[in-house]
Amino acid sequence: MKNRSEKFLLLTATAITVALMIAINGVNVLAADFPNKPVQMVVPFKAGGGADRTIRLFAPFLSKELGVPVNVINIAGGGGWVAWSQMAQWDPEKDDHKLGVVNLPHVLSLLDPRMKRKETLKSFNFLAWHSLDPCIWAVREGDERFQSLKEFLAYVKANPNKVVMSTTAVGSDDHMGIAFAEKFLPDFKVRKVYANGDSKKIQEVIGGHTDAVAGNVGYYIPYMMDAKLKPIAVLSLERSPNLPSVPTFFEVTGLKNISYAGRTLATAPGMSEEKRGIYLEAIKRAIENPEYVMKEIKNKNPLLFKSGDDLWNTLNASQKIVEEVKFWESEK
Amino acid sequence: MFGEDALPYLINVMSLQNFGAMLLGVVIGLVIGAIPGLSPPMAIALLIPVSFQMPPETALILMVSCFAAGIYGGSFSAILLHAPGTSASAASAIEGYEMTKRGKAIEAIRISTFASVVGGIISGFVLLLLAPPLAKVSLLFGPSEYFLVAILGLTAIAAVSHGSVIKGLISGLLGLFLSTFGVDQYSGFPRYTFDVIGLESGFDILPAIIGLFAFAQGLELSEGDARSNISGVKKLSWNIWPKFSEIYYLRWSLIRGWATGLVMGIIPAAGGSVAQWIAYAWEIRRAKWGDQFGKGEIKGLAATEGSNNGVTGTSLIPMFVLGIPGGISAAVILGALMIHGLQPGMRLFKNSPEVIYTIMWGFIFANVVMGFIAVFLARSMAYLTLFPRGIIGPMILIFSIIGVYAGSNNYYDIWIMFAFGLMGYFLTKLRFVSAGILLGIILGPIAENGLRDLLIVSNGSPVMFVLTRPISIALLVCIALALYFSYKPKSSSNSKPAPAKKPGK
Repeated sequence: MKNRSEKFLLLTATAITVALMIAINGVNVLAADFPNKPVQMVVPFKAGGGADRTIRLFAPFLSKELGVPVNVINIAGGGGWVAWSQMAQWDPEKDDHKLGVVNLPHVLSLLDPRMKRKETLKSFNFLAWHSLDPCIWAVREGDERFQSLKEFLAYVKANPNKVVMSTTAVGSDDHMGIAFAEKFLPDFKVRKVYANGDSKKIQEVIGGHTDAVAGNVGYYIPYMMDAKLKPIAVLSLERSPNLPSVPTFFEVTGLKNISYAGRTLATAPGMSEEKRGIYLEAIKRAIENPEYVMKEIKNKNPLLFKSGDDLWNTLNASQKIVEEVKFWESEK
Repeated sequence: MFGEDALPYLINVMSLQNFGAMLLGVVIGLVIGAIPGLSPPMAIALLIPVSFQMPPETALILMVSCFAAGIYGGSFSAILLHAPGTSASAASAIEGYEMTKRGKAIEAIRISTFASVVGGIISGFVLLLLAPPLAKVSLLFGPSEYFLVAILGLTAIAAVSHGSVIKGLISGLLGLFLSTFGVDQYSGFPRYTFDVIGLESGFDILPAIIGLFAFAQGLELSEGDARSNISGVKKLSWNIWPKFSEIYYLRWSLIRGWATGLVMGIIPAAGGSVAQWIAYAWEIRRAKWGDQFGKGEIKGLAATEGSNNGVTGTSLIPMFVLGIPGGISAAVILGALMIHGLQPGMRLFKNSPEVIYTIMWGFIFANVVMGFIAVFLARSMAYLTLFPRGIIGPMILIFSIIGVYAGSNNYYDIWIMFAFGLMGYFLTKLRFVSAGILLGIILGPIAENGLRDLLIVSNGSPVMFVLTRPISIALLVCIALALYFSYKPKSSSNSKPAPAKKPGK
């Protein structure tokens, strides 16, 4: 008997406590137990690359905000699409403990009709913008022919198809900037060699095998500090705070040639606003954590938080540029 | 000279934390390297977050140790089970496994260890003493040189096709054809993808190598008497320390292997997976009467093992001096360097010599530590070859699947591995060489992109362009020599038959 009454007391006490908690926290009761198991953070590339490095730096900070472990998993293949085609299919209930990295402009290859993608940008539930590294054009430090964009463009105009530029594969951010110039800048005719990563491009231009390189601010800063590369233009509307003396392409030519490498975080399509809100808040706080900011400064990855309309405006603007440039038509 | 700057930092390696990091890196590297599918760059990437709290030089010692040991660890599984743990140890599977089959597993491991440890140490000293001048050499490699290096690598097919050159060339062409799958970076056009997402990035080397070597081997072992073992002997010799007579007998093979490795390391993007084949083919072309290439020739193993660790140190040179990583592992180490706030470049040598030279000394000592650990590990690992085939065969099949999936978390890769596994199994039955397919897959993209880049930078006149570049001309001479020695009638080298004297057990 005694045993039973003890149990009864305990149950009542628990019930009252729970009722009180609900009363106090109101709707937040859902928040209290979400997320309630480890969150998977999907990186669409192999371990060891730039995206992987950044997300592995980020995971512990996000974990602290969410209160559960954040495990990074690499789903590689198809230039990111093995993972992205899964993310577009995530179930809002079953896959609610998954976050994924979606890279810009890589994901915009869905606009390329040759790839026959069924996904559109709307297929992804974009949560937040995480980082954005604007494109730059750079030449060899000390190249007597050109040390500024003005000189470079004049040289290209005077010597059509003579200058060779190193760029990443067709459809990449680096290529997009060149394709834009070819389409909208009269007399811009260059030859291009393509790479699948930055190290080959840097070796080509520093070694004198090519004349200029299209890359990103963050990744290229060490080579500029080492006086190997000279940046001549930033492909954004405003100058980069990291390179205040380097003009934008827009300043020099009046053309809005905007290109960047960006990373966004997405979650399962159709996820409830409540759960979405919890992730969003945690991501925001983690990205703003000074300790994390310091780590990414060393890692040379410029962070940028955006969400909601702000995020979609940037996405739509990028989509519009790709639709205008139609990179799939530029290479015959 | 640079050597004098480096000497004072030798003592730093001996601090408890640096030595501990080295030990940890070596053990992790050996284990990850030996498991097919888990590659050294993956291990290094996973160590980056672990190393946050460490001082930069300790963190980097951890990583370079893991790198050196990983390349060496890959040879264990290649030699003992014909299941190369890394793409840099595939060539060692050929002669090494044949030796294992003849009950000489310990002898093979012993030579592999000696060649790897000494190769790694030499490579480490080249890194320590000659990094800045050699980095200038690596900048001389442009499109024409990459194209020609790939062609030089492809000439190895003729050498490794043991017996039938026609069958070797057919496998090579099949490999080259398969290397064209995936989205073309020059146009963004999806080649042979059949709208399957898993084919868009082409065939990764990892599932191809695991399929062709490990999985095909698992199938092969699952045939026949399940109770017999791989080595065909009941007891193995436990004599793991190399003998002087043995080393003396192999001296030229070792030197050729190390030299190939050191040179190939400096060339960005070539690395261990190419060097081993060039070294192996060189050995075969130097074959004397009585050598048994393809049937467990220890000279071939000494060369491949010397070359793949000879690469390790020099492949870090362009990374440290120029910030241009020569391979995937070096790229991951570069990332770790940056996270610890160190910028690659000559300023690193000027501003933080204590960090950079401590790392380099750490790399050299890691190779020594690796040798000692390996000696103890080798005995227990070699036991695997005494296990019945009925256990080892299915185990290799299972590990192949797990290994491939662990690398990419991508089901397509498992199917790709199956396809390569069946292809390797049946082609081996028909006496084709899987090595030819692998060479085609590894070198195809380097050759294709090199040629296309060459056509663009030379503005459509590649021949004149190539003939104005000294390194390109040197490579052309190497290619010509390689082809000449491949087709030279064997009888001419028999004029002075070397006694088929082998050092005893």
